[in-house]
Amino acid sequence: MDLTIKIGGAAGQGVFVLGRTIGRLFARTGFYTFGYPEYPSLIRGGHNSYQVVVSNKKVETPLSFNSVVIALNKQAVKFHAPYISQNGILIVDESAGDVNVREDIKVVKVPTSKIINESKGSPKMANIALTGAMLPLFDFDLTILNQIIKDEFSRKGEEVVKVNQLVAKNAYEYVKEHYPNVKIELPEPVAKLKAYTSGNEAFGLGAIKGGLKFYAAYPMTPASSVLHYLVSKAKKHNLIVVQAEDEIAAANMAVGAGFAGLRSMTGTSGGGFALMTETVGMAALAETPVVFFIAQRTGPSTGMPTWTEQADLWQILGASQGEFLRIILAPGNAEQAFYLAGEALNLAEEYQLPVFVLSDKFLSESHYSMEKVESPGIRRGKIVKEGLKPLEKGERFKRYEDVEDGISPRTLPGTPNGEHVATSYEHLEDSFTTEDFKERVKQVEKRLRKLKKLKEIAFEPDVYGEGDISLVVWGSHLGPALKAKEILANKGINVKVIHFTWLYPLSKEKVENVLTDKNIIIENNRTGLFERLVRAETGITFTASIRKSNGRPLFPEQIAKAVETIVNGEFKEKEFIIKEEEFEPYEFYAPWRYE
Amino acid sequence: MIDEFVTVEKPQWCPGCGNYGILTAIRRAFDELGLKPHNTVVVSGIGCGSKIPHYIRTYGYEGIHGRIIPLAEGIKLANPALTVVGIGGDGDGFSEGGNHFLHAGRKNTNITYIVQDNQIYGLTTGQASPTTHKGVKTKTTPDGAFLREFRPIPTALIGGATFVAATFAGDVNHMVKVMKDAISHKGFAFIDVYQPCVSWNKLNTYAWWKQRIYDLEKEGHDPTNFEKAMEKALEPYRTNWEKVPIGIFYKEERQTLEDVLVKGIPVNESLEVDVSSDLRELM
Ligand SMILES: Cc1ncc(C[n+]2csc(CCOP(=O)(O)OP(=O)(O)O)c2C)c(N)n1
Ligand code: SF4
Repeated sequence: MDLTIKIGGAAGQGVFVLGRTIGRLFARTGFYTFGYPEYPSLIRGGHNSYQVVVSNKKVETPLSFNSVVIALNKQAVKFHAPYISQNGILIVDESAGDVNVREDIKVVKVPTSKIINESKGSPKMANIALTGAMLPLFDFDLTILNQIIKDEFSRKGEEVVKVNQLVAKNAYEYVKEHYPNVKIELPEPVAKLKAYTSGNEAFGLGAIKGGLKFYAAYPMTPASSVLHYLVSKAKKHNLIVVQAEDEIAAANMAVGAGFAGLRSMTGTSGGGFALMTETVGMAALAETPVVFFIAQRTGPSTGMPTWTEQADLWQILGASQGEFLRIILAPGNAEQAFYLAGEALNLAEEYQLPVFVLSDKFLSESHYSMEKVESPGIRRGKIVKEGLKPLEKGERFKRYEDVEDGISPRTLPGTPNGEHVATSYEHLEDSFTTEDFKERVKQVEKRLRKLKKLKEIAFEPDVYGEGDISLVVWGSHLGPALKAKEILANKGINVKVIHFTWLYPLSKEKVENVLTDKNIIIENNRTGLFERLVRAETGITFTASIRKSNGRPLFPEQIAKAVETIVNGEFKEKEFIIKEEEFEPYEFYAPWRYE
Repeated sequence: MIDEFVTVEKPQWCPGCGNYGILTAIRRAFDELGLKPHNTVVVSGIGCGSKIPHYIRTYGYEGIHGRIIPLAEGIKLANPALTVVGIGGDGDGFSEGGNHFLHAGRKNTNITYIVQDNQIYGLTTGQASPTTHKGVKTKTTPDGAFLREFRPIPTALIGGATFVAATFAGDVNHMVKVMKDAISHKGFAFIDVYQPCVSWNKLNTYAWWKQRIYDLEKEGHDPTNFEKAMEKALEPYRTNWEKVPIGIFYKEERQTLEDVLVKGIPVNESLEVDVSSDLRELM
């Protein structure tokens, strides 16, 4: 059973703090919880919203209905009240004034200012008041909220904790007393969850667990919160985190640190990555390990900075001149982001090449309740520290030795007899530059030999469920696809979901192993970028595709409807583009137009 | 032993190129400072002069055009026990890499950055550089360079470099001295080396420089005085290159980037990390 709570209000009213607090509350209670924020690219003005999705089954997607709406202002009532499900609840701050709404929902009015005044709190505590006011509807008591308040505020002193707890309590009692019969049924809590975290925080923490020691970046939404998170952890875990003067500097610093022997990363969005492009090729030719984290947003160019899309895949595939190997990974939720952060660092060092982790605003900024916390361990590849043979006068270490698997032993600065030059020029085995055709070809072939092993270790796509029809997704869209599968099953259409976290290089065999006769590929872009990649790499074509590019992710209801149309039309429709007609009702409110 | 820093590769610069002197000076400076090849990293970009890591047997990174500074910073932060020396051309450092040059002083990482300033693009066969003197005919300025010259030393001073010096590729002893001071300095040390390019720059020849340069030290310049340093730094522009001071303009001790960001030697640290309390925090 799914339940959703939508919080809406003006930017600056603390919608996200409130949303995250409610999300944590449910996750700590033992429900699978997902949080989906939306906001326009404005600092003041504009409407912010956050949907908390709660379930006794794993759920990692926004949904198109609202069981409860918490409105912090009148605008929020107008935007979200029409999409409250029948018999749902609207909780509204009394300050929103007279709200003229539907007959078929219940309205709970909370005099937050009055409650705060009586508790000697400050206006900032409206969020806490509203969280407290929500609890009686679910027959929750104050225990968990009190604990969250303590965790959040104890560094600000005992007094602050007490006042916040009192505000919560008074709001709680107010609703209990005035609305004793307004209730929403909840299933039993089921899970033991370990964190309620954004994709970016999970990625950052996974990287730390994976031995990350160096991160350089230039701020850019939606990658910035990785930088913020790592800065906050720098002292504790001895990380070097640098805000560079630009993305080119960030990328070069990360490569420098990788060369010197640290596990190192940079992160940005498509625009910033465009600037890093030349550095990618340098790392590839010099065979310096480095990880690029790229959180996509709606492009091209500045596009719609706070919205989502999966449209930068070919930018990454084609980044930098010349031919070279790279690995592209794309996690589907926080658990995978945590795991793949460490694995990306492993692969970069083991294969001595650039590794990309591709996220997007949807994954980076949504919150997931993490059940599993798995990390891949630390593998550093062929670093040689001892037993090097003494070099002759003038001789250098064979850093680019023509070895069978293409991965030459690597020495780190500081190691005697390992002296060499990592170079962006084509080079000989001992790292001197060369334009000798034979030597050039030798190095081309040496680097390319890594591909064989990469195809062997490439992850097979994950398969969820059974059926002759497959819904194929990559990266962030795992959650929506799994929910669509459930909706379709209720309509008698059985599908399985195939999810790619390893995007490149692809192994034809591994893709063929999982695909079925009828495959529908679902992508959050307009022209089918991954579909084209699969076709180019493996020759495999898909039966139909569903795409969307309005800046929002594909919602499960939307996917289900599109799949139904395609299946019922016996796959005559090949390209289903989600346009205005297919929008979910609440996609019509315009958060950027604030009255 | 200076031999320690020689590689089997022979330099391929034009006969008479100022880079030969610079190479000799770097090897000597490394040797006289007692540096060890395995603990030294020479970082370069792209340009004639940037081929230099291949002729010095240390660790090296020959990166891409304009990115010497951030690459060197990343290496130094990762392993502060290394001596890191960046070296490249004026096009590389002042044009393509201008933003990094502008910010390097603020960050004040403990690295040395040497610019082989030949007032021309050598490797790409003679286009104007930011430091090409006004009026000089180049491939891209057939009627004579018409933009005001970029001013490396004043810019480094304004940017907050904590060691700022100039030297001349025709005077190996002077170069060795300045380089040793720069490498020994704790913080971002910038050296502008006036380097004749015999193939493409017909104005700024050895003889031309020799007529104009004078040693700041012999004049009794006080390198701790910022205002005086700036005055000297502007002298070539105010005198239309009649008087060109070389030596140390300015020197200051200031907090380095490593002082703030780095504890110990990061590359020697264990990678095993316990994140359970961080995870709890996220709940
Ligand atoms: C991104 C990029 N742009 C342009 C070039 C071509 N390029 C190579 S060296 C150079 C300029 C060389 O001048 P300078 O840096 O002063 O060094 P010099 O050759 O004079 O030592 C240029 C423009 C390049 N390699 N990379
Ligand atoms: S072109 Fe100029 S800078 Fe380049 S090697 Fe020849 S003389 Fe030296």
